[in-house]
Amino acid sequence: MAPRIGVFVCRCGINIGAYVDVPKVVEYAKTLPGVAYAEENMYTCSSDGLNKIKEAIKKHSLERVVVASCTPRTHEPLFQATCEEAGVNKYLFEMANIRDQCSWVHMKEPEKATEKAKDLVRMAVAKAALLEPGEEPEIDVNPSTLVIGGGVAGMRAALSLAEQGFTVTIVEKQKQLGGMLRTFDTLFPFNQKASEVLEPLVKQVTTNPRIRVLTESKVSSVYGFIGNFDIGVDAAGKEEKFNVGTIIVAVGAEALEPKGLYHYGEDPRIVTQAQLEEIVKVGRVDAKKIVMIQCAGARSEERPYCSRICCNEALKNALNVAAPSKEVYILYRDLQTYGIQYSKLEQETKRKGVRFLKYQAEKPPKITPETDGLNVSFYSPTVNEEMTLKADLLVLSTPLVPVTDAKELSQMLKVPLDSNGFFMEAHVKLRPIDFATDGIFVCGTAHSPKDIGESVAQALGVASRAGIPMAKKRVRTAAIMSQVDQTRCSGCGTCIDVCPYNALRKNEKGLAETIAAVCKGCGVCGATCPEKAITMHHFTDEQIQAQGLAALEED
Amino acid sequence: MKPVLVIGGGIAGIQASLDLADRGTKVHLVERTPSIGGVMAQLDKTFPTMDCSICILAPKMIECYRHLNITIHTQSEVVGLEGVVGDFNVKILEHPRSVDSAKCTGCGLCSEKCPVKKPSDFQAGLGQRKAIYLAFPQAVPLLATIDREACLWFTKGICKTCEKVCPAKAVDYEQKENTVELNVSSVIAATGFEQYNPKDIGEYGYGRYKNVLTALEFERLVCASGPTGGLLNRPSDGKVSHNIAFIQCVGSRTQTTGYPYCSASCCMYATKEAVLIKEHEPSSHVTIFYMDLRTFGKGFQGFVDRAQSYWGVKYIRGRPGEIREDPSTKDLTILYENTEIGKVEKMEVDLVVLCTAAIPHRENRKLGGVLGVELDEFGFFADKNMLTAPVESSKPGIYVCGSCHGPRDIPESVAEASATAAKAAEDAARAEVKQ
Amino acid sequence: MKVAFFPGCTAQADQIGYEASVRAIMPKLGVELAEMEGAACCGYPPYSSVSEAAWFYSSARDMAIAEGMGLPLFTLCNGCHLSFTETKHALAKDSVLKAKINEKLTREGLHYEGKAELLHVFELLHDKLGKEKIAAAVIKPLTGFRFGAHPGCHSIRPSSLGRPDDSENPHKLDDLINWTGAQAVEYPGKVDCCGSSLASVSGKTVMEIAGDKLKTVKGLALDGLVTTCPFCFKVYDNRQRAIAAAVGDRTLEVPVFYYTQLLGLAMGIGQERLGLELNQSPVDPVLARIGGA
Repeated sequence: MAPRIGVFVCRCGINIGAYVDVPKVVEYAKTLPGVAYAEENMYTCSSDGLNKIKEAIKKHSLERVVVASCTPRTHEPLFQATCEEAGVNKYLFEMANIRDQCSWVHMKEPEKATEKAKDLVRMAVAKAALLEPGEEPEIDVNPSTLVIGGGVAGMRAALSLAEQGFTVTIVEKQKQLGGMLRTFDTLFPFNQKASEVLEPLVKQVTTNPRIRVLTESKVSSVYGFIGNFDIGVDAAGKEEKFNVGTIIVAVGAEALEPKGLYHYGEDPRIVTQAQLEEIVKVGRVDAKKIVMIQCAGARSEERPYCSRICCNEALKNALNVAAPSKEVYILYRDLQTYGIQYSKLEQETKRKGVRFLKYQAEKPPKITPETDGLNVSFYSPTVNEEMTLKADLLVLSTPLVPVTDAKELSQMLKVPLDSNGFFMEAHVKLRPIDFATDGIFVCGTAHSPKDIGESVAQALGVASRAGIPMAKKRVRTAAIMSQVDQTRCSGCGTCIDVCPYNALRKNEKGLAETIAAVCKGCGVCGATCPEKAITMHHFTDEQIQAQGLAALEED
Repeated sequence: MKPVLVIGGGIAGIQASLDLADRGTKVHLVERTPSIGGVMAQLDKTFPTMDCSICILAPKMIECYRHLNITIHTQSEVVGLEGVVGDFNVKILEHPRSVDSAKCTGCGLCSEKCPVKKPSDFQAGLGQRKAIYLAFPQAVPLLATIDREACLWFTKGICKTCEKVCPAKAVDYEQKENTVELNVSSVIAATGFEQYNPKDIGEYGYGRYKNVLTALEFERLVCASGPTGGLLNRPSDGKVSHNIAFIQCVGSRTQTTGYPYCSASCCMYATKEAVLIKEHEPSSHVTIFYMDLRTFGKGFQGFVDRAQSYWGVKYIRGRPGEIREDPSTKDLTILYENTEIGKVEKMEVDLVVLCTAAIPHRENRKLGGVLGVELDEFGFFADKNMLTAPVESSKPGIYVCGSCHGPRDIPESVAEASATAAKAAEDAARAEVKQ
Repeated sequence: MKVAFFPGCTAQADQIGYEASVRAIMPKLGVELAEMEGAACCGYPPYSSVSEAAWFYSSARDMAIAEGMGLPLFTLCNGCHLSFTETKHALAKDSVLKAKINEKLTREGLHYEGKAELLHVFELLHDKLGKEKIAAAVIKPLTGFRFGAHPGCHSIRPSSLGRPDDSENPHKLDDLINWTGAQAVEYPGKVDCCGSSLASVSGKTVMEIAGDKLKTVKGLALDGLVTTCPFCFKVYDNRQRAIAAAVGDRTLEVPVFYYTQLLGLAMGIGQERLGLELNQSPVDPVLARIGGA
């Protein structure tokens, strides 16, 4: 007997309702085969709308639910959970996107938009009729974390996880823990000694019984899935293998060495901020006239991002070198002294006599090294003139760039990098420290340039995120996965080769088998199998064909 | 394991609650207004991805509501706290909605029939709501609330229309306030911020000139669920505005009227709103008057670059000195110096949007007193150490996240919310060890 | 009430109409103007541009005279009022200079403590007398007339010292105009400077700035511009013809009044007692209409 399908068409306020004739779509839905009930809602996602779905399921004994509204990206889990609450398996739910894919893009053609909405609903109903319930596999979660990177972020994340009761292994490629923090002498905005922050942290980490630190080590292999990652580490020449439940990427970033930029590398009087710090540390600032250039190698076509910390770093260093006998100039494009403390730092630096001169992106300063100094000439829009400063020392404020092995690590973990090479999170706003891949998280400058406090906040953040599956001890993964028909599989192994998630393996009979927990349901194996032995649950050939044929149907 | 108290139901409070609830901890989420959601629920889109704000927020709001480990207390405030980390005795005062939450279906009929109109907080004062009202269409919980100071029954002893029309018989004028006492192991403050009211910056004419709006007011204007259905009909005459200017740092970065600090997200949200205007009408003229363009976050510079090169948003570096209004047309003239060419100029526009400072919530002082935590000189919650303890307050066991301890954007607030959840989880783990 | 009356140099030198109108209306408002024997220039602008000490001395001396009389110091000039205010603030912080000044003042039997209350025209009329007393004195309300208030810089700036009215949104002169029965109309640029202080630096700028305001007022078809400052009046009224020529609009004509002249007319005081024949801007048509009303 055909399953009873319920269709809920959303107005989404005016987003859909103003362009698509929703009542017509509802009436149309009622005529479709298998549809036992159809209604419209103002906002299906509101608690009122969700209650209506549950009531309708009960009242009309619905066995499949179609919601024609917005995007499954944001709302599918919500509607699925609602179905479950009313006793309908979440995999018996289908969405038709009549907003992003219809009303939003066809605002000027409401009649056609309505027809398209009907088509989309017809397609969803056709598929819904063929949906099967799904059983989500549960996996045990090893309450243990791998933290890749032993800088501030990595250490702080590890400490929190250890405090929560989990075991942690930190894999650090350098000889010592500390990362970028080790390269600083003082820290903005309060000019405190970096060692005051670093040393207690290192001590806490190295003395914590739940944290194991592997220095001079690199992750060499990662297999598995959330709850059960098999990790291979090259630990100072020795191979270590262990299993963890979650992984945290805290590999940090590097300061750009801007060879050739503003003659850097060609003259000892041209340094980076990090090098300036070294000079300040040993107390040897002989230079009387110091010029700093912000955005050196950043906010450009090559690196179209702002590195967030360089302005404040320059201010800190400027404060440390400023003296009545010295002249310090900071050439900037936009001063990134955001928030409360950095605004104060800006005022303090100005009061100390450091001069801020704006330059324009399209007219960068020109440097001409001479024997008695470096000629820094640039166009000052403030006074509408070309200005020249003769600097004894030129300091370039360069951006942070991704670490050189970021790409390698991203491929090993199968997590993406953004266009600038930093690790890319699941969602910029609402999942800033999760990867889309379950069980793997990112924090600190590996995510994007930020200051220590921000890195610590993100580190604690991932400690919470990773703590969730580990505290629950088990997680469920989606039931959208491949299944290999053992009677048709020829054991060619092609599916195993093409699977991007290593979610297929050969069983004892030499035939392919899905590792349910890892499979993401991408469908590559199903498309590849020459024997057509693989079924993609929830996206079966029959279901897709039904949708395609429904799309082509005349009204 | 003891529950955790989360104060504030904006995105930060929601995230902290979900993190804790997902790992099995019970959470009491206290929200002062009738619905959770906070400022993020009032936004149209969010930068830099231009996601519809309520679309990405509402699923999380509903998740809080349905989560078996989260108890939401709306119309509530924390009025007492004693004890130490691991053992806080807190008192929550639940103000009466005057509506029975077990019966109300959120149908909105009461609101339709109510004769009293008041400015709507959700619409930033641009639209109206009734004395009995639903906070907004996706409110969680979706329950009506009576504003007793506006209601004719409570003020004059007449009307009672809502009770008569309510199909669920949910109106309860006798409902009393309720005190809930809890023992919790940690407290997370996520009470958010307010927007500075620029009426004291007389030269910009806010409050005198109808077509000068704050950014939040503009957000409601451009939003499809706003008072004009997303049409850019300016307040004075309803004319669709195609020539709009944004002024940055209004009440921020100033030594005179306002606050000396930078409010961190205004450059970006002005760009977002500018792009929204262009999306509505590509032939619009949009100009942003700024001091320093703060594009320090992930994806921000790219977003601004696209706003300029693809959408044609103009940026002028110069803080306008004055806005003048033409008495008959109510058009506005902006007087400013374009500091990049050193010229004093005038620009005539239909509408001006003031990007105002993010300031401490007015309730912070009171709440800070109740919690016994320090505030900074402006009234934000003070964090223990900006570098090493960014989400800890001055009192062990009480944590801060989001804008309540300084201006910041959504991704930061969300990460910090998870951070406070981690701290609370650590407290709980320590308590278990003790036992 | 009794006040020590400080007309200031400019009013006594050539803005006699202003002083005349003040002397005409005050007795009818119940204000007795006591003469300040020996009072001299408040110091602004001649001394203040050259020597701060000389300026503060001159200014403090006048305040000391009022203090000695035990009366508030009422001045009809915006500039004088600011001068006294600045001196008060400066000497409150600089006890050394204050002592030096008092040393000199003792020779005249005077002493400066900074206790004299300073009263600007707004403060006396708007704040002290208030709507009731002013409205009560009006017997010929100027109904139907629309004026633009020009509060002038020194009555509203700098805000940090506290001025008689708000820097950005002043209303007191508007209120005072409304209390005569006329209507004060908001116009863009109301708080703009008349340009007078720039006269020695850039005459051209004075013409432009003042011209802008006159053009705005004319454009709105207002019956006149109203001020309480002799400097501002000099620019808008005495120099109106020159301004018109400078901005290339010989038809630029705007009646300019001192507020006290308008109030006097509303109080039924004869035009000849209010110095109106000395107004060089075209006030006659307005006066004719008032006379007939």
